[in-house]
Amino acid sequence: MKENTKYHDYRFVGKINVDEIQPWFDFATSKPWDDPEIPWVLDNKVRREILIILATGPKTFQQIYEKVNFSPKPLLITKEEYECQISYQWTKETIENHLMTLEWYNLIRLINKNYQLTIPVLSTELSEKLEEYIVKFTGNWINIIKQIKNQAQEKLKDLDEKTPLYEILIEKSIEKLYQLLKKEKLLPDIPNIKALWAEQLRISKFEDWVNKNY
Amino acid sequence: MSKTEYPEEILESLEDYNIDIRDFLPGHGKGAKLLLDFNKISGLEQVEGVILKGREIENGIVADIVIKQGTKIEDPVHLCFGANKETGVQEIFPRIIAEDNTEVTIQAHCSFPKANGLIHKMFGHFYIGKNCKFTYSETHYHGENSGALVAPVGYMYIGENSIFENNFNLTKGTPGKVKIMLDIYAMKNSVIKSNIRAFGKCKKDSIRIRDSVFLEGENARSVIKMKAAAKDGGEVLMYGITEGNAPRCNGHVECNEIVLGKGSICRACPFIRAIDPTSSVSHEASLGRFPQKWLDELQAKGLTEEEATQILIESMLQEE
Repeated sequence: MKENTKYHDYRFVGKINVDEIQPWFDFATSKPWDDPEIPWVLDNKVRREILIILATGPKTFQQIYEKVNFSPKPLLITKEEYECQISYQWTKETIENHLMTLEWYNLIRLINKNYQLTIPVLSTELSEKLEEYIVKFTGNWINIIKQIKNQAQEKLKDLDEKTPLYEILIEKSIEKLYQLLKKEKLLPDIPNIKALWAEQLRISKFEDWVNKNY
Repeated sequence: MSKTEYPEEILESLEDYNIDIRDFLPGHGKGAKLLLDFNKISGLEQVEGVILKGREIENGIVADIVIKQGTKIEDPVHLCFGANKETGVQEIFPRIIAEDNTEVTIQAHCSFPKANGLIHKMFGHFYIGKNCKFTYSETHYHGENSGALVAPVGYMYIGENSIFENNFNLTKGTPGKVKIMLDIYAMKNSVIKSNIRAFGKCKKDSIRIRDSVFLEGENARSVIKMKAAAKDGGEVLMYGITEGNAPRCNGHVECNEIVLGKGSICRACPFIRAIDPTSSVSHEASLGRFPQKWLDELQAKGLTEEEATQILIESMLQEE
């Protein structure tokens, strides 16, 4: 992905070209330990909130500033019984710092005074529509696995019985699939969006649950 | 409330901490109270300035605790989340709101003396207003079978000029599997103190705690102190995060962990980030055994190395 933020000059933009696992790599993912797919940037709820706000479309600094603030609501106590007076206002300086961090990590970019996402964020509605295709994809994979199950078992019979053969095969195949799809340009070369997706789902599901029950 | 209404095992379970839960029951002391016996609300007492409302759900409760503006109460608000069962799931969704200019201490006791496959989950939100003094202390006891899975998640927002103290204590009994995540957001001029103490005592004990303070307001200050020990195969991971996102904020993470016996593991990941150029964040961590000099001094008084280590651990994990 082409980098066009103002921090471009300070970043390493070369291609990491090491296939074998090296000691300084994260052994769980085989990726360089200091460059995980989900950067630490998303630890902070305010930055996640900014990304969720930008998921609805490009916003100016002022628009983001006005949206980040909030006032809490009790779960059970009704408005008639009690109305919360507390509100939290993030300062412009702090929001500017968060935006710069997100920009540095290339999760957002500033174009014509509008901040916009460089990555897609799925809404709950869209994720439900996706479910249909997830079922199709997995259904096809199950058929393929069934077809080659005996063949794989025969070829890999020297493996210890306790070795979780299918877990290894599936994990490695998915990894390979990602690589090949990126190579074939069927997947964009962008950071993983799972964390953002999960965050939005968590919020919506919790709110839905509260609305439904109370 | 008479003692027969609440399981005796739970009432007595915190004796090793020198806490008698009977002192906090409805009818004792002046504080507001909410008692949960597994998934049933078995006691609720309100005081002036505090609104307390709870509702039972399938596997636990949803609760609102509101401290009204200007309320200053000496007696702590008591929350008791006990379960006198071996297995089951207890889910708690508390929402605590302390309005501006309030002073309050919340004392939570989570006790599962018979746990052997018991799951306790919490998803809590704390909203603290401006100019408040708020203390939240949580003492845990998970029995002696390493049979609990405890996974609380807490989001805490601390308003301008407020002082927030968080104390978590899990040093008695066997913890089992513990996965705690706390995110504290500190606004302008607020002060955060977070003290975590935990002790893993056998192979089945795994304690992983992520305590994060995000300094979001000018001049916000914080200290995270994490103290832990692991023995006989226990595992402890302390992940202390402090992020300086606002002008002139200042944070510190301190982590001390002691490893006893082969096969035990202590890990610390102090992760500090300075985002604002005028912020200042620091950390220090020490893991392993106690300094030989300390052990020598106690051994010179006639104690064995094991006894000396035990005394040093107890003093390290004691509340300050």
